[in-house]
Amino acid sequence: MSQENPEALIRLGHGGGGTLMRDLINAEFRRLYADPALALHDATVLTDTSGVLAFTVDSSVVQPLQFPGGDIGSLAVIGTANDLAMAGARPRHLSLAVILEEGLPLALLRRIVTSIAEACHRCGVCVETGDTKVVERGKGDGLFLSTSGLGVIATPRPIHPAGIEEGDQILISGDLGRHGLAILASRHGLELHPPVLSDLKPLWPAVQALLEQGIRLHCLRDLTRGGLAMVLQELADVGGWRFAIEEEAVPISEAVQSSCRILGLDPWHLACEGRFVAIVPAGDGDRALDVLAADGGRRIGVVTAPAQPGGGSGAGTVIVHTPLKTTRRQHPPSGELLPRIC
Amino acid sequence: MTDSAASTRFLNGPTVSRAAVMEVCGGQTHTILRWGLDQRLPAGMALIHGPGCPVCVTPLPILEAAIALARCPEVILCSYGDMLRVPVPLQGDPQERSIDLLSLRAAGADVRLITQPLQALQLALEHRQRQVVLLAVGFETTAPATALVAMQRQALELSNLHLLVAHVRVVPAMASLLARGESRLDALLAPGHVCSVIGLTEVEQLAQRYARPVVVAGFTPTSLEQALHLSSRMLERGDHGVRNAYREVVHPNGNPRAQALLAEVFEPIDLAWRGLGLIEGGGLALKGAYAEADVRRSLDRGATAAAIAPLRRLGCALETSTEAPGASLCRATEVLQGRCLPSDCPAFAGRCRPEHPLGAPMVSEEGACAAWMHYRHTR
Amino acid sequence: MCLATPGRIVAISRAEGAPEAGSDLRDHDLWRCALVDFGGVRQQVSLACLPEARLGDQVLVHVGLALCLVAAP
Repeated sequence: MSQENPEALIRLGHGGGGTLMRDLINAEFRRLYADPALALHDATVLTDTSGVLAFTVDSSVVQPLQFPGGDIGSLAVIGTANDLAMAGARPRHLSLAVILEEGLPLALLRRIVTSIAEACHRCGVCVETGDTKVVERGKGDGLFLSTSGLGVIATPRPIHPAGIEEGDQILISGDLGRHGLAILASRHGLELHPPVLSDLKPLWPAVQALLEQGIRLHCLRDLTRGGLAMVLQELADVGGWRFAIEEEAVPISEAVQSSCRILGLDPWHLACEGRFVAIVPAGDGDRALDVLAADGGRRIGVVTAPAQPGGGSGAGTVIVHTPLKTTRRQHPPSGELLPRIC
Repeated sequence: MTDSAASTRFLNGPTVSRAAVMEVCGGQTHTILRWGLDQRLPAGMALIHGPGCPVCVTPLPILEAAIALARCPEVILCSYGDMLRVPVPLQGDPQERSIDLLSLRAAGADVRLITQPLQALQLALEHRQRQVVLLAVGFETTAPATALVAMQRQALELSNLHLLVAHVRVVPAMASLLARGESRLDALLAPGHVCSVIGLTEVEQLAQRYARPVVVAGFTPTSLEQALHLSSRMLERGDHGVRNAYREVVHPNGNPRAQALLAEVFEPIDLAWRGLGLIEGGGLALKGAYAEADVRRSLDRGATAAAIAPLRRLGCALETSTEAPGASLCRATEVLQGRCLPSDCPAFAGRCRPEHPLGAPMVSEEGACAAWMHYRHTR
Repeated sequence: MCLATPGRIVAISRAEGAPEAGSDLRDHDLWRCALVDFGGVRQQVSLACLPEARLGDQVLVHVGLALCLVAAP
């Protein structure tokens, strides 16, 4: 690092509120803004906010900052937009707060900002307001991003797990764990051949396609941290449901399977950033599958009955039917995913 | 299937008249519970989960030394992911609290997660001014990799790499289980990956001495089921001896080169396994020139000398279940000996959960309690 | 216990950071390593315990060490 041109690194002064900061914002961030004139203004005014709004917030702290198939910038934007899509909202507006660590190479920052711009374009969102801070070297992990998003609800009613009903079908939009694997591989020195890219992608287009087919969406949830195991348990808990899942129907790539075998991890625990679970009435299942199958979507199970007589919350059960005609309960991971040797 | 139905088929209470087969290895316990193999056992068979999880049986003095070493600023302590979560009781704490290496890392200690022991060698090369301690655990499957580290360390004259060895030997532990008066084990599944290193001779002697059927088993559901059916047939016929149901990997002679590495670097010692007590020849210690790398010698100075003090208790005390925090509740010792089911323990799924384990079998996914929690428990 | 995975040797080399190769055959084995492919995932592993391993062989790997050749089923 010492041989780097000091001009090319973030310095504490870049967050000091003076001309250095103004120049940084003009040079690096201005291009992100819907109205570049607002880049240095205190607040933005939104005028086209008719309809019911969905509002979400997200923080991104991923390491490494760049990973196969994405970086912290695209992850922040797409992750926020996806949270809106899961509520049945078309993503529209974004805020972007940037916490930079002293010493971050400007060239890296520039690549990440470019990636943010591309992700905004893919998601159909605009950055409306933002903030920039710099912390001392050693007090940040290169770069943290915090985003919030506003979207307009496009479904007859906002989507919420409370909409799940007995007999509903459970679909998944694609295979498990590619994002988690891309991150783990870079952390644990696994060389993936051919490389496995993060599954990071905007989910709104798929949700929109489901809506266009008139699918009644009882629930949507993206498979982020905690993976499929966590999502199914959380959704089952909301209404005290019993979910029956067919293990063989859950799509997992060979690379994800092998890596999990080597590291002793469960693919059901790995994070995705471009996959979701859709819960739809039985009558809509086939048509929903037609929409999702093109991207590797599958029907993985059904909502069978309340786990406890009379239902209630906090007592859901996820039963997995194995190919051996046996069953097991699937529990979410307890914390950090740690590779094991035994 | 309901929990009660599962436990009926899995039942191994003292009154059961069915044949009790123990899968010694925690990896096999994990496969059995994840794939529900216990729901389709051969008729008349019940399974007992064995103590074959090296993380779960690592003696407390070794863990206490690891914690104390990690607190020393000059030390980088590295070990495997499952090791970093093992709870170590804080001595003399009135509230019976415990600490693990991950929480120590959160408090600023330099604790590194590795997936291969050779990474410790790399760390020592990269941080010449620091003292790198490898907390080396595992059965005979893992010990050759540690032996290799010891040999490469010597070749590279890396004096800042130190070994805290907790390697254990599986056949002496199997013998100890069979020798106990309360043993109700009718047959054993031997761990295939250990046998790929040590071969079948030791296992053969065990099977003859205790007149039991022993089947060497692999780790996939198919391979395990084959082994279970084989042991069932042996039990029906009243056979004893060793059958190899994992031929693609286990050669009768094992791996002579790996055995040579082990013999070069280690010697067997008596070791008190956590939850099982003293096992004759149940551990491995560095020997000869390689003992130079043992933390007990190489770090016996300054602040680190105090840190390794707990190791002086090693091998001389017969440890019992009273070591666990919340010991009044935790029945880990009985679980590790196959004398009760995880769900029989009053702390199971209440005070003791994977996110805050009381006893060692709840720590690693290999542990019987954690596997039971993941795949069987209804909340 | 002992998570081990079978994979195929796709390259053989001398370990990075190994001292200058000596004439001693045992020393040679100590540093011999391979790139092993596990269904699309590749990892550098030591061949110190498998001097007989050759390119294309299936080996069982545990914590970065090849433990044995895996026979075709």
